[in-house]
Amino acid sequence: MRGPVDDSGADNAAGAERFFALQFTTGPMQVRAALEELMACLAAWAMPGDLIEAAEIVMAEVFNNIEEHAYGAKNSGPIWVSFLALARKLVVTVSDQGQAPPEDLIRGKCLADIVPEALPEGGFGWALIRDLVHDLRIFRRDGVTHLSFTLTFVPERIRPPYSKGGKK
Amino acid sequence: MRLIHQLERNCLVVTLEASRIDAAVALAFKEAMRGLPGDGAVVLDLTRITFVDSSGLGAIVAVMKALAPRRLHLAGLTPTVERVFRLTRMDSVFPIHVSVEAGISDAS
Repeated sequence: MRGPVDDSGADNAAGAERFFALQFTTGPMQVRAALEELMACLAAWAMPGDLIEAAEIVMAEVFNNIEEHAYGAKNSGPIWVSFLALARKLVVTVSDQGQAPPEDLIRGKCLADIVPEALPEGGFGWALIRDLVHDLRIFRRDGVTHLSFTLTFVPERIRPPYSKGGKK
Repeated sequence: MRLIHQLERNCLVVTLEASRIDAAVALAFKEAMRGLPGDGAVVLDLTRITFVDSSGLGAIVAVMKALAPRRLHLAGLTPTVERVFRLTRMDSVFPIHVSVEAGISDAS
């Protein structure tokens, strides 16, 4: 695993762009270690707690999905992650060399589609991702899947009610 | 995964020797929660659990179903864990308590 690429340099005044990237190989403990490193980065950048929480939830789901579906249970492979912090948002890219994701990855079920009373044991992962991020994009080129999205600093309480249940 | 459980009034309070219920331990968590002694309500102490991902959430739901008709109570959710339950609205299907003590009071 690599450390910060360009973090808190002398010219990194408050509000300046900050960038962090790492690469790791899939595996449950490796995912944990990567999450720990990424969250430490956001904490070091003094990101709002709300955003750090959302980032941990989203990154865990993204990594688990790559591990379980792109590479599959029996294989492992590399994941590349980058964080770019701008004034009001965090731009995230995640790339892997696994299987191509399904077509409906971006427009699939969201949190409002979950029926808690049915006691589902799955289907939460991508719903959480879709509801917590903005600008979700995916493209595949030369056998590599590139996922990108942003996490904004807008507090949840003043965001549109994407996921408060009921009909969309 | 190792569990510590103790009987308090009629409730079995279960504490996990873990800090996360995630994809790495979801299966082990489900296995460990099988065959808990007694037949009263179960209060799962989550005060030291800092993170639950979708696999962990699914495992907790599976444990809840497996325990039925025993009721599974959740106590002491930390902020990120609370957020996962709230976002998925799975907080509506579990009795959730601010502390283990509150869970025991309600469940016993």
